[in-house]
Amino acid sequence: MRHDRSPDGDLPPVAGPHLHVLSVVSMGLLAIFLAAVLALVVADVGYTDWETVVGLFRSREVMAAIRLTAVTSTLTLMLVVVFSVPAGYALSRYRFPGHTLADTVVDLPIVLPPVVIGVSLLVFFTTAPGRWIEGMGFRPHSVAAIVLCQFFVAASYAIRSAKAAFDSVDRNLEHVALTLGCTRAQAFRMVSLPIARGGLIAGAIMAWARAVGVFGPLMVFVGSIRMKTEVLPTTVYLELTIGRIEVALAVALVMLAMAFIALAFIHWLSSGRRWWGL
Amino acid sequence: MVASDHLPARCGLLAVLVAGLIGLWACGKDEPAPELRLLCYVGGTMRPAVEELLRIYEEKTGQKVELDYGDSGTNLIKVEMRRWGDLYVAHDPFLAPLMNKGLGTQGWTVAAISPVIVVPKGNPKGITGAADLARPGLRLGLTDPEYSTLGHICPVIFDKVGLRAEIEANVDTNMRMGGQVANAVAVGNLDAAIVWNAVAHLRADKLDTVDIAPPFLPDPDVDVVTSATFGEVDMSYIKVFIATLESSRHPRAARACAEFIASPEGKAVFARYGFSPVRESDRGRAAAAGGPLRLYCGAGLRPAVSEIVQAFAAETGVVVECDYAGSGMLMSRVKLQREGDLFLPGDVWYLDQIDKEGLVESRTMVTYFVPVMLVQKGNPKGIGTLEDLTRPGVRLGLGNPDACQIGRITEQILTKNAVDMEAIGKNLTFHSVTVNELGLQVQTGRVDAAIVWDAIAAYYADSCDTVPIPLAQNEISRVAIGVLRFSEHKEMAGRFVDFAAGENGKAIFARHHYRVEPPA
Repeated sequence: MRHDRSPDGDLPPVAGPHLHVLSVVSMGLLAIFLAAVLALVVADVGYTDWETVVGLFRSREVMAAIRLTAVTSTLTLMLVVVFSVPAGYALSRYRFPGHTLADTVVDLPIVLPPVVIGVSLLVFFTTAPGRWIEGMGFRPHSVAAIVLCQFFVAASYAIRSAKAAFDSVDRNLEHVALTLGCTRAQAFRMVSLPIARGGLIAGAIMAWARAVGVFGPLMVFVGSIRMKTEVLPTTVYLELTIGRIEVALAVALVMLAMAFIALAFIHWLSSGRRWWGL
Repeated sequence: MVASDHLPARCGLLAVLVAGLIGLWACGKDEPAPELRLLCYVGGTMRPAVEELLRIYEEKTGQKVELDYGDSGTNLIKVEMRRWGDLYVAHDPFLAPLMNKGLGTQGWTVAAISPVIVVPKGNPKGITGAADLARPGLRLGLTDPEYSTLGHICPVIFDKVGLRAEIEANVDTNMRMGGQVANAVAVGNLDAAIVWNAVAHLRADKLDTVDIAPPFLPDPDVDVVTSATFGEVDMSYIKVFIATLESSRHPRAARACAEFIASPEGKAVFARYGFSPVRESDRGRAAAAGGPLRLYCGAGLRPAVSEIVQAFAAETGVVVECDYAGSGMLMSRVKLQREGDLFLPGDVWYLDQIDKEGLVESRTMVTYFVPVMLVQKGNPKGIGTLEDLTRPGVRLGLGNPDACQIGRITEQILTKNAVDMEAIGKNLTFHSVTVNELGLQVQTGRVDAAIVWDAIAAYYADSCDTVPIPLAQNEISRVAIGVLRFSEHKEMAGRFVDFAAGENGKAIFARHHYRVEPPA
């Protein structure tokens, strides 16, 4: 997976659109997709009204849900990054017995409907190991439980794209780094990681986006207790069940704004030439 | 490779963001959690009414109740899997599975719901009744017959209108939940839908309601749906109920809260949210008897009795409210409160006790309890006789003699066989107030052995082993149901006794491994 700007800056710059078949078709399809998404957003905006949106920010419950969504999705994102980068690297670089099996198992949570993850967690916590974890202080109505649901739904995407990102790194570059005196860890940090950065960030964005949108497993495993386990997707559902469609859509618009800000922030954060923080 | 110039700035910003989020989290926790909070599972449509009721309740009593919303089926799964929470609000048919699975302890009917037609505001298609739904070209929405109670009821209505084929030809969408179809009408994707009146009421700003004429509604004497999971449901009267849960850590507080919601004040709030009132009499059939019957029932009898109560309700329309607890505890309740209609304790001895005060009108034998030893699967401690219970290191669970019959009879058995009571006392790790908890203790491995009823042992047959006690050493409990002298519904109570002790009741007892004949 190539980023539009390589860390070494040795690729030709991305061109502007030209009038030939490929550019017309690709730009046209892009435009259709953007128009379709915008049409949905405009329909949402049209159904709700400004006062409803403003009213949300006066509701203690909705503010709590916004806060909880921000906190849990960020915690999930951190946890996902901590897992997915090393796990993706391991899947990409090492061959071990059961590698294909491991590769397949990583994809399972993507294939399953999310609600199955919720039911599975619910059932797991009735088994002996589950009870033991509960005995250690884990509670089903807690931030930890929300993060757990989000993690299971989101982690696969990040591991999958981390693996793809590391697969795309030319291993000769790592070997050159090793011959120039780098340790394996240094080669990872100074060569592989910067090159894979684009793919890793794409994976993290996808994981975060999944985490924010998680709903099915939360309804089953964590519940929707106001001020305690209610996140924004839960709010949308709850408002729909009592027919307050305009409020549900207003919440959706708030989620849209949050996502927009967060994605813009991540893009900005990753726009430097180096892998930030490392 | 040179480090980027904005790296420190970006790291700093990231740190600020993370700190900010942690700060946000922390300020969400500013309220100190009070000692006791109840958790109530609420089905979607009931949410606004229950939310308001609990706000009133908190103002009055200071008792906080948290609500967990979802559709009633999902809530039922959560109750079953988590074994956590105090109260459950749903509408029929979910009371039956809740009680049959032993998850609920008591249920109160608080309101009812009935089907109505909803149309977009202003009624653009001019629909005046159920017959208009057959008009060609109308886009009609219904709830899924597989998954919803209302879905079962609609065909009955259409048959009564006499236009079932015509109306069903207009069905544009079948959705899982009534709220979804109503939303589709509200946004203009459908011309009409049939939903519960309470669902329509929540959308009164977007929808108009058209009544279905009473002759077209299901008939209480004829239209009963039976489903494998839920038992029989009277389609003419779909009830909204609140139940206290077996998993409750605060049963007294949960009960008080349920009683408030079931009080006239609570019912008034439901009425304000568009629910139908609770029928005070079931169209005359129970009118002579008045309100529901109250049965005090020994906890060990619950698996069978909860089913008998459902079957009785299905046959007669009379609701029997059950209060399950240890027989000793129930006896004090009966003596103190002097209300209720029926008493079914774990042994006739309890009926004898209250009859000393003249409180028993009549009694009828129902079943027999034989004590057995319940041990862990495979009997790892090798327990074969009563004496084995005194061996050092055997963790023992016994009933409390003051609270429940199994405790009383265990004491008699041990004394009769001159078992070393001091050694028993040393091994006693769990003293329970009902026999049901003893089974659970063995199943979860917290005790090695317990003395329980044969029927309770059969209930745990998959996860525990049973060691019989020889008849000569054993004591048998004879279980009878008594009609209480202060009952205001003696005739109806008598009918319940006949039902429970009759063929129907015997079959249900036998299915749950209770003996209907004394052991040979």
